[in-house]
Amino acid sequence: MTSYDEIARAYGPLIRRIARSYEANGARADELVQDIHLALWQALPRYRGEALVKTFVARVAHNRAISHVAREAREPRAVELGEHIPAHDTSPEDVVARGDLRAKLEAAVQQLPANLKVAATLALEGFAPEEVAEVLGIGVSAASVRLHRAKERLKEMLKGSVT
Amino acid sequence: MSGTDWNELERAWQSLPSTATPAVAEMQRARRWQWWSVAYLWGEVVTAICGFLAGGWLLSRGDTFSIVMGASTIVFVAAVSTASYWARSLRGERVDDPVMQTVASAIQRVETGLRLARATLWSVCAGLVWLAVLAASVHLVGGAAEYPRGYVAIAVALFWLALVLAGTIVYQQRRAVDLARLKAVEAALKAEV
Repeated sequence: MTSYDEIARAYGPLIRRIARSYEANGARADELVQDIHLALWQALPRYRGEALVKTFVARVAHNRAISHVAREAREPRAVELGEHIPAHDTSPEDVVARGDLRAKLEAAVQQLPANLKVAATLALEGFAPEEVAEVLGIGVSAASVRLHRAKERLKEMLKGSVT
Repeated sequence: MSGTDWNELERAWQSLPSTATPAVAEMQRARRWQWWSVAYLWGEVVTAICGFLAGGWLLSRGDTFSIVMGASTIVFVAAVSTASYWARSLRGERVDDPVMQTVASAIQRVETGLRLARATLWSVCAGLVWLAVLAASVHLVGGAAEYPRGYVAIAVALFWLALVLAGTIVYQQRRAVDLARLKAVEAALKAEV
């Protein structure tokens, strides 16, 4: 699978979920998704199969998302890499009241600091520690530590929501 | 967290609604930009060739002033062409690199840009000194009466240097802000978990 259309179909949902983990605002998340797809389309001619397709897609998505948030830091808004991202469309109280695990999970991931956010989203997508290490460009043991800490942090934030 | 709990979270996460809409308009714009960037590159090549030819023609005129202008034109075009080639040969952004490497590369590119900007500022200073020497030479060989176009050429060069100076200062300020943001990003990603 190396054509853009095939990759967009297969990994479009993953891209969207990664974008939502960085951008709570719906419209900006859509812009980020478009940006990631464009970057993917431009980077694809250089892809030679040296990494798994999903690793390649995850790298592009996270790199673009990090650039997006860093760029947005020029403007006065609530999003800073490393700080929690308050949901724009719903308040935390609404999320809790709804008792919606999916929404709570998304909100929790959005609030994670950058160093844990990448590991958390990849873990939730089913990436193994070796694959997380490839995406991040760190050692496998460092990736395992981050995965463990990210899971613990999410568990803490979602205490009571998981049966 | 137990394996069952985490599996539940994975299922919940992967059930998030998604609308995968490829960025068709952005891709078309990217294609157009690629065409323009190739056209711009050929424009630079043609300008450089014209600059070398103009310098050669001035050298062939034989008088002192033309030789000085011709030699300096050739040196200037060669320097700018070399700098442009070097800037283009720098490793471009690889958005499919590992995340930490991408951020480190971005920081390196910005720092290189800042070094280039400092070199440009020194070049502008050198250019001003050279223009002062040229103005003195024109004055000594008869001034405006003997070389009417000499002072016009100096005025044009001064104007051009002023534009380059202003542009470089603005570029330096923006890149300094970019560098600070990128270093903050790098620190956030490297923060101890």
